Amino acid sequence: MDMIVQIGPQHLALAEPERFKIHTEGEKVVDVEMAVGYNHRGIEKLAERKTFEQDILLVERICGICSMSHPVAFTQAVEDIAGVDIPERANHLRMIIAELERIHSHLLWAGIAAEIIGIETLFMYIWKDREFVLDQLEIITGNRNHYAWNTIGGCRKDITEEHFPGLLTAIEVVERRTEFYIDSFLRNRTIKARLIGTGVLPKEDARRLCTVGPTARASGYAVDVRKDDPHLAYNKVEWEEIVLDEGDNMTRAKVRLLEILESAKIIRQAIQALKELPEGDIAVPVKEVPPGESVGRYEAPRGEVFHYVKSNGTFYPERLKVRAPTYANIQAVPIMLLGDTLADVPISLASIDPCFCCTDR
Amino acid sequence: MFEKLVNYCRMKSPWLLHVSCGSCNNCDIEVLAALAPRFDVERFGGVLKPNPRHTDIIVVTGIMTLKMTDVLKRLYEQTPDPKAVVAIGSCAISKGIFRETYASYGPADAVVPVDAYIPGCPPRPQAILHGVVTALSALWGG
Amino acid sequence: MPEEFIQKLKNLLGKNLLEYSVGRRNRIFVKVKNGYHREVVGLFLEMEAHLSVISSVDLGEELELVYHFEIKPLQVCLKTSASKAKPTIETISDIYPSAAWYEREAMEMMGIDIANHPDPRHLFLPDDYTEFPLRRY
Repeated sequence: MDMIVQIGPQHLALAEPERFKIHTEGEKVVDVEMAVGYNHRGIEKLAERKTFEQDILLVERICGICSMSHPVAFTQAVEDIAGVDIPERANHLRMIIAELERIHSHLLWAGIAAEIIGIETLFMYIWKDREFVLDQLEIITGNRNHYAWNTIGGCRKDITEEHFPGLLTAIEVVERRTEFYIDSFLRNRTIKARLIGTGVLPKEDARRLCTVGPTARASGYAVDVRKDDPHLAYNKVEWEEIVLDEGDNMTRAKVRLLEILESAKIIRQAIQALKELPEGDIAVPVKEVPPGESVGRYEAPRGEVFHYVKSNGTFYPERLKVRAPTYANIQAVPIMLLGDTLADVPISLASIDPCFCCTDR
Repeated sequence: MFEKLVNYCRMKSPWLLHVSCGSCNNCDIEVLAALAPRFDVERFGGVLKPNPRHTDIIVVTGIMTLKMTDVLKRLYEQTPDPKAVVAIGSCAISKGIFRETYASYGPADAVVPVDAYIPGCPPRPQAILHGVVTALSALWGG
Repeated sequence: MPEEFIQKLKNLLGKNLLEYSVGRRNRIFVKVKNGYHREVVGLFLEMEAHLSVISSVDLGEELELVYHFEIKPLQVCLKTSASKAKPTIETISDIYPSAAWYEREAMEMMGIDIANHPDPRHLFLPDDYTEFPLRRY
C-alpha cells in the first residue's frame, strides 16, 4: 500500500523546522520531497545595512552551534580585502576556540543520535560531559555560545596562564569519556543493528553532488578545508584527517567521534605554542576596508562554510553571500533514504548533522 | 476545591511543546540542555512532548518567519485549554538583531498571546527553568 | 600556478575572457562573456573541480552570477553577467547537479532568469512572494 508520510515543520525528531514528504510502498521509502525555507530570516539583506564590525555579531547569530564558524570565515574574507595579516597569537587563539566548538558540537550530535535511536541514557551521559567543555568556553569567553571572540584584525580577548590548567584538565576528561563513547557505539548490539548498513551514500554520489564535511569524508571523498586551504594555524600543528570508506550511518558516527580526539590533540599543541608567544599581541587595527572582494572558507563541525564578501570602499559591505555546509549536504539526503525502511529515516536525516538555520539563513 | 486540586496537579507536571519559528537554534539547544542532568527540568515534572493535544505549555523561539507563522497559529488552536505560551530569547520577544528584516511578521506576541517572556541571547538553562516555574505559579498557583 | 591557469583560460576563450585578477592566498577572479561560461564549467569538470556555491550580485545596470569553484589548491570565482532588462543566463545543472538549488535561490532572490532549469520553483521564499529581496533598486 502506498503512503505519503510527512515529517513536518514541527516534529520531535527535528530540532528545526523543515518539511519532508516521504513516499513509501509498504515500509520501504521510494521518494523524498524536501521543502526548505521555514527558517529564512533575510540575513544577506540585513548585512548590507550594518557596518563590517556589526556584521560580525550578525553572522554569529546565523547558527547557534557553529557560532565560531561564520565569524572566522567572514573576518578572514574582510582581512584579505584589507590586505592585513593577523598576529600569530591571534591565529592560535581563534584555533583553540574553534576546536573547542568542534568538540562540543560533535558531542551534541552524538547525544541527539543516541536519543533518536532510543537510547536516552547515552543522551544524558553525553550531554553531561558536554557541559565540561561549555564551562571552559564560559570561563574563557564569557558565554556558553555566541562568544563575540573575533574582530577585524584579530581577537578581542586573550587566553593567559591562569586559563591553561583548567582547559587541560577538561580536555583530558573529555578524551577519556570520548573513548568510552567510541567503545559504546562500536560494541553495543542495538546501536550496531540500527546504524550499520543504513543511510548509505556511495563515493561517486558524494563527489558528484559536492558534499562536504564528515558526510563526505565518511564516504571516502577527502575534503577538509583545514588541509586544502590552510588558514589559522592548522599547518603549524600535527593532526590527521579522518577519511573512511563505507558511507553508512555508523561510519559518519565514527568519523565525528574520532575527530574529537584529533581536536584535543590540536588544542594541546596550540596551548604549548601560546606559552612561547608574547602575550598581548592579539589584534592589528584596521581603519578602513578598500574596494575589493574575497572569499573566506572555514571547516565548521558540519563541513565547509563559505563567505563571499564584496566591498565598495564605504563602511557597509556591498554584498555578503553565505553558504553553510548543510546547504550542500541536504541534496544528498534522497540518495541516503531510498531503499531503507521508514523507521530508519530519522536517524539517516540526523546523520548529516543538519543545521537548517544555517541553510535558510 | 476540586479546582484547586486540579490546578495543583497542573502546576506540578507541565508538559511542554517546543516550536521553533525561525531561530538560530541556540535557544532550542538551551531548552534541550535544560533536560540534561546538570539542569534537569524533569524534577519539576516537565517533559517535552511532540503532540499538541497533550501539552500545557507551548515554548516558542525565533522571529516569526513567513512560512512558519501559519503553522504556529494552527498548533496554538489545536492545543486544548487551559494553556500558556512562553516566549524564549530576544528574537521571540522583540526580533532581536533581526529587527529590520523583510522576512518576518513580527515578534511572538504579534501572532499568539504570550504569557511569559524569558530574555537573553541565549538565556541560560537556569533562566529557562526559573521562567517556566514562575509562569506556572503565576497562572495556576492561585 | 595561478599564471598557468589563467593562460589555459586565455587559450580556450580568446577575447571572450573579459577580465581577470589574482588575489591573496590563491584566490582568482575571472569574468567571461555571457554564453561562454558553460564551456569553462565543462573544462573545470575535467579538472575535478568542487562547486562550492553560486552567488548573485546586483551591479546596477547588470545582474551578475558568480560561480565559486575549488580546483586544488586554487579558489576560482567565475563571473558572468547579463543586463537588468533581459537577465537570461543558461543553467549549468546538467554538468553539476548540485547547482540546481543554488540557481533556484538566484532566481527568486535576484530575479535572474535561468534558461532550461529543470525545477524553477521558489526555494526559501513562500510561493506567492513576488518581489526580489536582494535587488538594489
